[in-house]
Amino acid sequence: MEKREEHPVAMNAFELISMSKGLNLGNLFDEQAFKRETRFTSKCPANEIINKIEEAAKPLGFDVHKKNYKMRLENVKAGRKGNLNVATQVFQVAPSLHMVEVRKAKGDTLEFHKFYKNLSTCLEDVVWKTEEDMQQVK
Amino acid sequence: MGCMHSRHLRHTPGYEEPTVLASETPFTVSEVEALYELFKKISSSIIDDGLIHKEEFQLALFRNKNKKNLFADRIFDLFDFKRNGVIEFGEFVRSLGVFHPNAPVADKIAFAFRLYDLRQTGYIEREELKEMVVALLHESDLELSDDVIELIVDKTFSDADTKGDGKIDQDEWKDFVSKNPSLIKNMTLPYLKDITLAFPSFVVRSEVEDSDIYTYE
Repeated sequence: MEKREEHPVAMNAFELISMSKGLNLGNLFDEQAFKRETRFTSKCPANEIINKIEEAAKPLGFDVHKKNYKMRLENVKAGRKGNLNVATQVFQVAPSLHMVEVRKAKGDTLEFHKFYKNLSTCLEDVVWKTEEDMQQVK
Repeated sequence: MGCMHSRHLRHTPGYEEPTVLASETPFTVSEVEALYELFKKISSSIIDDGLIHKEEFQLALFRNKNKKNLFADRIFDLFDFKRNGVIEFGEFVRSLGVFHPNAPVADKIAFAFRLYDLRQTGYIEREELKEMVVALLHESDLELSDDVIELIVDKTFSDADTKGDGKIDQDEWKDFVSKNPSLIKNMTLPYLKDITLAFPSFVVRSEVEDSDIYTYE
């Protein structure tokens, strides 16, 4: 078993701020459909988040590589543009709040969307708010 | 059809020639013309006057013209270089130029600094950073106690404010960004390189072609 760092990397305040919909001008161009990364928040401990993602990804046919609070999930089967490769990282926003970034590293973006949808279904008890929840217009 | 297009262009306040804008931004002439199509769409959505008003900007960004947002306000104010309360075409293109993948990183870093310097004092003060964190949490429906928010702000501030004077100046900001390049990730819009695909040339007529038609008649 590899030794793991005490805590995930702290998300700095400016990174947090940069998530605002008001600072993502891609929305001016209707870019939504083609996003290559997303995030969700969780109130679970970081270790638990990592384990749950691994548990969810393996049955979906993904190999899991972990290092501290970063993971690489790689589809064993090749897709339309090679093997889908997804990078995730857990950040600490506050002791009781983590932000998990899920990003397509390689492969087809639509396959990434499908994978993420399946993954989120398995992670229901880990996810507190999805990116959609956070960006909902009140 | 070509003539009408040209005349409309000349009467829009704040309009600048695509060739001029292309020479002073990372955009090509075709890309500036494509941006003009986008500009026309946004600037006519509520008040059809060839200018982007705050509500039209909010509508384009949030699909809700009444959505108030601290960060969108900052972007709007920075785009509105002349500070006349509207974004003109020239201002639109020049400001978006900073977000082009080919724009100098130094420009992106400087723009982000001005963005976060809420009261334009030339420094990002601790209170400003806290105000922005609070705004983000509120916008995202995330609740954290004030103690925890203070912790987040403290940690970031101690990393960035290397001179320890309670505020982040431009040099400290540049150093901080060089250590954390993801801080300016949202200062680049890869899509800007593909903008002519969204507005193909059979829709947009270049000014040069129009004046040719004119003289031919």
